[in-house]
Amino acid sequence: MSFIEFKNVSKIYKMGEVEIKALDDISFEVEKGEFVCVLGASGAGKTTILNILGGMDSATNGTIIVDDNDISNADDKQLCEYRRHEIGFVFQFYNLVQNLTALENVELATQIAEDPMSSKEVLKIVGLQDRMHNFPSQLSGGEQQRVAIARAVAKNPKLLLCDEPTGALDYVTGKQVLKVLQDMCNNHGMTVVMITHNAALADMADKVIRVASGTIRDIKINENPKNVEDIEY
Amino acid sequence: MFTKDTFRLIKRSLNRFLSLVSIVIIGVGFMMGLLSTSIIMRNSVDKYNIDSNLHDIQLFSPYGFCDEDIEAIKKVDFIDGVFASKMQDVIIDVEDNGEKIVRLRELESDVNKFELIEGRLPMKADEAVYVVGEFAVFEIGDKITIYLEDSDVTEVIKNTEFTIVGKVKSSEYMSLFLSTSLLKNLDLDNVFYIPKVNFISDYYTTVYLSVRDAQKFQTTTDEYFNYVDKKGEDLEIITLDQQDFLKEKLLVEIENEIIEGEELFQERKAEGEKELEAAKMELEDANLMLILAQMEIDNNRMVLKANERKLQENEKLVDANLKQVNESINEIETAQGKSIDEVYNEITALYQTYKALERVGEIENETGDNIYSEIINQNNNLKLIINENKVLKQEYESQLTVVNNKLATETNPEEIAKLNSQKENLQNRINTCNITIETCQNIVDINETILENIDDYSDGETSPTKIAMDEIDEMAGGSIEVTYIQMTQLVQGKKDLEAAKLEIEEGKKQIADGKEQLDAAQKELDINKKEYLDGLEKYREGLIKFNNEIEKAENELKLARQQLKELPDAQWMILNRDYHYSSIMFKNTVKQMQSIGRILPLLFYLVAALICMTTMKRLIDEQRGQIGIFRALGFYKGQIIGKYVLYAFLATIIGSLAGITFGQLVFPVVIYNTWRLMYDLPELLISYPIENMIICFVSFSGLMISVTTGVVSRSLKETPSQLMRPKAPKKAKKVFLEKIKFIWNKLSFTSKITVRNLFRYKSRFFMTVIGVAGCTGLLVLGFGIKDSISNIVNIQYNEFWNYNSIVHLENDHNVEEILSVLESDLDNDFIVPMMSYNGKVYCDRKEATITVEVLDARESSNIFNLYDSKTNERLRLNNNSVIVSEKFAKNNGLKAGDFIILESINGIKAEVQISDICKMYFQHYLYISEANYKHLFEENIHYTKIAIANAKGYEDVLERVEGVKNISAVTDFASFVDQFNTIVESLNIIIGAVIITSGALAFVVLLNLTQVNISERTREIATLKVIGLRDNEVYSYLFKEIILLSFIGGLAGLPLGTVALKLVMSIIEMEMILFPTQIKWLSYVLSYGITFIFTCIVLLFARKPLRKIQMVESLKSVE
Repeated sequence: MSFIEFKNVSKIYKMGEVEIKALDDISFEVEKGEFVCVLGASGAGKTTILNILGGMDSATNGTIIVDDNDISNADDKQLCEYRRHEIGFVFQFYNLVQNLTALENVELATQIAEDPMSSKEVLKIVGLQDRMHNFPSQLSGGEQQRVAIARAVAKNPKLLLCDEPTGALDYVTGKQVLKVLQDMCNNHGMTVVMITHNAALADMADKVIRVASGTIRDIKINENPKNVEDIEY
Repeated sequence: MFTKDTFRLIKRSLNRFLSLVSIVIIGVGFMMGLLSTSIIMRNSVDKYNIDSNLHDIQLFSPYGFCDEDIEAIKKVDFIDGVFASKMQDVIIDVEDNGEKIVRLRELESDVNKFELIEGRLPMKADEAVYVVGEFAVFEIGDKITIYLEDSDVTEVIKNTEFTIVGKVKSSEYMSLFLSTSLLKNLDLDNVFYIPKVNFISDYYTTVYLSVRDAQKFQTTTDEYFNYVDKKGEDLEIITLDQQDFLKEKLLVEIENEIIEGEELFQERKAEGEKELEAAKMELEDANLMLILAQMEIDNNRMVLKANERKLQENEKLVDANLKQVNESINEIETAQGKSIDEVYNEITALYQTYKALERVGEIENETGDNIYSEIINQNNNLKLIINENKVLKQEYESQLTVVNNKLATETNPEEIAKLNSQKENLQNRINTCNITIETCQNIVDINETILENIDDYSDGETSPTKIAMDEIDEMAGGSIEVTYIQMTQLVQGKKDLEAAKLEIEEGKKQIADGKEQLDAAQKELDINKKEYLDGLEKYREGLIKFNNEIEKAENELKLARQQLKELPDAQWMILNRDYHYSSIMFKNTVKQMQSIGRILPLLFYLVAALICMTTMKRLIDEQRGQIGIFRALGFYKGQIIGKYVLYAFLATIIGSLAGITFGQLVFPVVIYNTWRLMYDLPELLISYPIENMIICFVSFSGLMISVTTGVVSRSLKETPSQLMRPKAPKKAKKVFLEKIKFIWNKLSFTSKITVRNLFRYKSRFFMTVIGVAGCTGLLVLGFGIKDSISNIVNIQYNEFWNYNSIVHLENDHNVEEILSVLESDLDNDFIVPMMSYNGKVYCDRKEATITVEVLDARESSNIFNLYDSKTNERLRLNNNSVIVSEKFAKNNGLKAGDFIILESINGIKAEVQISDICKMYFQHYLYISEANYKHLFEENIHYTKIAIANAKGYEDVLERVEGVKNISAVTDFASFVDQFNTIVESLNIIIGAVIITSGALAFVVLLNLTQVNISERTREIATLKVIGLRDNEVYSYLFKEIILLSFIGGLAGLPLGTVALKLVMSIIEMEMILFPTQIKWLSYVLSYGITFIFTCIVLLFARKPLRKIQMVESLKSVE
């Protein structure tokens, strides 16, 4: 049994007579501890997959099983619990709480987690031990994203979902962030699913899922994923 | 396209739009309503006044007005209408209601016309109509009888009995509280119109004037009053000379009357003195006679007494003797065995026999003895005679010798003749003597012969008669004579004694009769004495009375002379409608309405402005991106501003229309009907004050537009590209509280966020707090007004005035009787008599009227609880204090320690110092002790009423005074309290409106703020959801802030409302009522509580939108 199983998942938006198929009968699997990259052009449906995976949205059809947990027909409450305990999410635009320091932002997550990591430790991991007590507005984009990652990771989730984490960052900072993610995966055994439209980043992943127009184009497996430092783009 | 977007915008954020509209409705409606009400009220009354031709100026004069005065006034050019009127205040008795003072007015009138509302107008001289009002207890067909106390009413009014034929309404008497009567210092109870023929006086009581062009101005406005005042002053100047006319005329008349009076006085005085003297003399005579009569009686008594004593002694004697006699008789009877009478008869018979025998013996003896003795006597006598004669003879013979001798020698023939006659005489005499001697000798010789032949039984013992007599003596046990005498004595004695006894009885009876007579005589005398004493008493009384009346009359004359000197100046009082009670009350009411109308809506206005600002700001913030796009496209700043201004403007228009309608229709009607409880108002004339509507609309629109413009302009400062990007979040900083580590570390996460948020978004903080505070404040205001007003009745009638009934006296002649009837043993029952009158007070040249209450200082604390107006200390009335009520002091600028001039009930002036100012909510009072009053004015106190605190209540008091004289009415405070409650409740309706509106406002504000809160932080909320915060946690994250803000705002609102209350209370004060500014703790709690409840309700409703926030949508990246 795979860690994540997507089976014939479809997401259809109905607006009056118009039907929009965001996802059309998608199926894939992800193993535990894998670093997965979801590639695709804008509007391909990547975010939708991530949203459904992350319990923020529900599929119209299909089955989604995460760690033997079928969340296909889960209600709001169940999804909430699912998000709380199983998922860590990293957004493209960080979405930190502006009024809390970096440390507090992470504590926001550790507060509700069952078996969290130490907030300070996590910030150390992401290299922000000296910036713990700064507010997001006092941090650069990269630093903010790292805080966001720390927040997501601190919960000790089974699954780390990242929606274009480096989209708003420059090359160097981006690479830094990706390094963190890779470390999480390799050193802490987290399953990471990352959306990106930068094909070059595919090399760092264990599995690459290409999505286009709501369907899966192909799924490639990297035998030897590269280190982020080695990737040039 | 542009405008289309605006409409879509409205549709999409309908909630926001509607909340904006509702704010406008409330604000505009309220403003409109209150402004209109005052205008409508004024217009309605104006029309009424004009229709009924209410006077502009009323003239009064201390002397009245005569025809010449009227003519002079008519000549003044700016006076259009002159109407002189006679009026008279009289007293009538109303069954079960006591005495009422009513005013009689002339029926025929061109000015101050009245309106017939039932029945018909009088057609005969003895018919009347009355003005409907609070105290009207009459029905058509009732008869009233008028009278005056100190004078004959028929001297001023022709008829004394009137039949009521109709009811009228008069613009002159609109207020249900009529003015003070001219008779006594009490309020008028009613007004009657009667045909003018009834008024006998030649002079007019008052003159009503219509001022030319005064109708141009609206009633109750300052312009009107200023105009009329000016004309009044002109009138004063023009008529200055005329004003003295009547006084001069009257002065002469009065002077003459006084002189007549003085003459009459002297006459009567002399008469009286004469009469008294005569009476005095009569009495003295009578007294003398009485004394004499008494002396006689006393004498007679003494005599009678002596006699009585004597009689008693006799009786004693007789009784003793009788006893003895009876004993003896008993002895005899027992001895003899026969009755005493039998025995006595026997003895009598024996005795008589004895006596007969004795007589025989005696005769024998007598005859013998007598004859014997007689003869012897005779012989003795004869012998004597013989001897005498012999002697004589001798003498004569010697004389003869002498004569013969003489003869022998005498030669004178005369002498010889004399001697011869002498000789003859002597010889005769000698012859006589010889004869006599011879005769006598003869008799003697005869007698001696007889004597030899008589037997002499002078021994008596051997005669047979004697023997018989001796026998009888033996039979009688000794001596019959003795026995007989004894028996006789006994029997007779008894008889005598018995007779004596009868006599004594008779004598006793006589004495008794005599006593009776004397008693009767004494009684009569006593009656007469008493009559005399009565007469004496009457005389004395008469004397005193006479003296008193002399004194009184003298005083009166003196007083009259003095008063003549002190006659008031003949200055006319020129009064505008400010002195017209109804007008002034109404004017004040309208002014109040206006004041309320200006201030209250202002508060709403501010709150509404705040809401608008927040709403628009939020909208603009949301529309940021849109604005950026428009700018990027090339639209001008102005166009963009215009777009949102349109949004706001539409909201304003809709809100204003609805608000104006609501305000216009609901408020005036409600408030007008409420005022109707106090005034007899004409029909409501709904007018549409376009002016006000425009003001309301324009002001609100202006507000909205300027706010919107301001907010949009701010946004437009940023470049289009900036706009299109999400707003840079505001810098966050550490909060002060963080430094206090031990508190900070204890706070939960959400609390920390809340605190940071509060400090970070200061404008949001302040707006929310102000908004909520405003609403809580309004609630406090509303409740506070209610508290202040509703409690005054309770405090006034239970706290300040500790009594519950009043017995009104017609006079104090039998006040002792009444007091004893009302007496009760209960501890908390008190009865305190008082003298109460409307007294004039002069302070700083101003003149005012106040109700003066005079009562015993000690008793005052039983029925009054007076508190110092500033310190709230309990005040006690003592003999140095003069306590004045707060409102009065305020109105006249008085404080404790000031001096004022007070008039007594008789008009005497004296200076007094105010010792304290007391709290009093109704009317104006001055309290002074009896001793103080007497000391000041040297007048006696005549009680006019008795205040009663009676645990059993009003019915008990009524029962007790049943049938007692000189009581004019008994009033019960319970009914007063009801009356005042009605009046006071009239304001409750306004308050209710305020409270409800405030509540609505509070609700809308909170709703708005909550919405804003949510919409601003959608992204944040979505993130939290993504992180996995449960719904409850999300709520608490957000709502903590709101609750805290509401908490702070609520607390801030409490003092805010208190200040507002003070402000409002000072505005809605009425002339005679002082509203204490009072807020119950409960009200604070309620206000706060309501705000809190609304907060909770709003938050409850906010959960749904929160839940609905889609993570996906909200987190949509700006791609």
